[in-house]
Amino acid sequence: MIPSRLWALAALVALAVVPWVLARHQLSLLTDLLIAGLFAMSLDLIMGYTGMVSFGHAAYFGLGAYASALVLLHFAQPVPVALLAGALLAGAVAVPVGWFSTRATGIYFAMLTLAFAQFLYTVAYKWRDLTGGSDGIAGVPKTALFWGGPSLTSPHAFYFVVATCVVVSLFVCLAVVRSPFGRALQAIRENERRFTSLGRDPRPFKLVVFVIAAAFAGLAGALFAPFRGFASPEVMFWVFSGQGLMMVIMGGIGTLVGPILGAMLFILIQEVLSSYTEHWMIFTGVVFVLIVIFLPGGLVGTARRLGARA
Amino acid sequence: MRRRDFLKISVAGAAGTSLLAAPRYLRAQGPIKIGMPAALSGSYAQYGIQAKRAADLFSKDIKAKGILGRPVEFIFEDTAGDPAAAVRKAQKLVEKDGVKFLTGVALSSEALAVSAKCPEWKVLFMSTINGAGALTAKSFHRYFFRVNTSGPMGARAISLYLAESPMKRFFALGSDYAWGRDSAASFTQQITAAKKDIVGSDYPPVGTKDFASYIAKIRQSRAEGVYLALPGQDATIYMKQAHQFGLNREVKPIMEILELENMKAVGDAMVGAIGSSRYPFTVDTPKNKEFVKRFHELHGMYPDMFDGETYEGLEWLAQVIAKAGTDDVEKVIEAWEDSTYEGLEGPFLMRKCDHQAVQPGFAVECVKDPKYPHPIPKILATYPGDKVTPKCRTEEFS
Repeated sequence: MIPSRLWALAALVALAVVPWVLARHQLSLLTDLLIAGLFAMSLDLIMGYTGMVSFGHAAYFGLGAYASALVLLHFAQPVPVALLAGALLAGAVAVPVGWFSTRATGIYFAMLTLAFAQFLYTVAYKWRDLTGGSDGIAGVPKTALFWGGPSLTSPHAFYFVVATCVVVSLFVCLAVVRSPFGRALQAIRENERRFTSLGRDPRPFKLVVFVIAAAFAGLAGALFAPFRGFASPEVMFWVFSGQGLMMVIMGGIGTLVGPILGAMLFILIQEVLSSYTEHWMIFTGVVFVLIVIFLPGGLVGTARRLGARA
Repeated sequence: MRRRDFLKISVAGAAGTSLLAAPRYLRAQGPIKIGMPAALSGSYAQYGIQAKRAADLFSKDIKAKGILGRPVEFIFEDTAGDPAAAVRKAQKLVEKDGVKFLTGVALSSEALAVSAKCPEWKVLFMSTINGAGALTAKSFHRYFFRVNTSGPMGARAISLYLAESPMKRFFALGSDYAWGRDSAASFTQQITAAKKDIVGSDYPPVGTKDFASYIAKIRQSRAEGVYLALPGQDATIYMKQAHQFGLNREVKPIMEILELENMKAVGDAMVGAIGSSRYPFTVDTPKNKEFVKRFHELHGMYPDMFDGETYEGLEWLAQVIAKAGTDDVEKVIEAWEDSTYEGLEGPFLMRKCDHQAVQPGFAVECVKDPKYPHPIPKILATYPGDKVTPKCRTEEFS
């Protein structure tokens, strides 16, 4: 078994080198994959480590996208300001939503998150003066790295911003789940009653991790808006939340790295197959079912199990 | 076990690389490529499919001579009507396939998102379906061209017709999203300017299945005509229910766009409805008769609005590329501005100031004709281009 540090180093080197060998389209695709990966990873934080299945995670991605789009379009601030705005708005909205939703568990939690997400979607859809309604906000520019700094319009420059955000977020999330706080989360996942009987209230823990996850989803959304140049209500729709769940399960629940790979696989299937057939969703579904049946634990979970057996 | 581990990973890696590294050929004198990021699946698939049908016929027609002696290649991508997917697909077409021309985008929301990226990509966007007025007004840029009749132009045509009709009282029913609300607003403004009354308005959500309460409200308002801006299936459901309630006999249905698709789905209950049409296949010009015949031979059906409009766009684009003598985007833009084209339904002019094609507008009525298997649009009035095209870079009319 190759030590995981070596893997991490190899991945970092690959991320740094790969843009110089890829064609322009492949680089755009890779940027897209990384953004989707960050979104799926943030969902894994609550789903994999705390056992809270959210059906409304796209809402925070969408909030991040709108915040970032508005900051870039109307205030022409540097990209990091927009990223911060996206993460903060998503985190801030997650506080009341999380406060209500964490009162319930299991399917009731899932339904509450779905309801709040659809509510936020409707706000984005209807508030035409601010969000452009169903037309969305188009023409979001990629501004500079800092005030008076270099522009991020080149595909390479923006790729490195995205890659840096994803790598840093991954390390932060790893630190979170390995901290005592993270251990507490896993204890809640394993047995919430026992956790309570040990004299701790699980709700503050759940609320905090919900907000952290939302903030990272917001960051992903905030990267998405300047990358694609627009934000529209579709990015907040429940379908996207559902796709997030699929990405996490395909990659491996509770592994953080897995969902990033799962998101990449998901988008790649969509990207390649939809060029050939309108029925690509059938194939996505088949792959999903096959992974769930034959690779329990997803890509990374299975790889680890095979590695451990060696 | 380490070996198996390695094998698995290398197989996965190889699969990933081969997916990413699809062949990329950039021959200078290869085919002229036209990218179509169209909605081919999902609720709006009918519009993408129309664009594809038109492209199929155009490919067949141009096969022998090509453009500038070069073959024409269409590359289709399915966006499922999602703006995020539309931008990703368009970017793939531009960066990987090297297309210089994008068209066939179905929804206005997709068009606004894709169009905003075109100056960055230096690629020409030709709209043949998108109605949103903003595309040639607030969001206009020089890489965008609209060959089709816009939403405000359609509302204008039907308003001109109604201004001369004896009807005085109208109700506006628009779907609760950008197109529905914009159309209803545009209609209200123009009808009021014609000294007629709007006696009520309402905005049902997209995907409404039961229109009973709206029908009751329309009946209560004692309107003589009801203006409807409902998309595809919503219009079909509304027309069927209004027919069952007997409303269509009391209140004249006036559709923002009177589509063949709806006439086929609703059947006889649709007869009597009036509305505007961006391209009615019954236009009596020699060129159109030829087109309808060829279209019917290939697809076994009569062309709907966007079949016709997309075909016109492609033919005009080919004409402009031939005129420019190159497929260089900047030169094509210059050649297209202020150029004219003989369209299926009459003369077209590409205005330089906002790249909106000036073209005739139509008020039509749905009628039964024993020669056709379904009701067809009969032309009630034709308005010349300068009467139905808004002032430059606005959504207003003089």
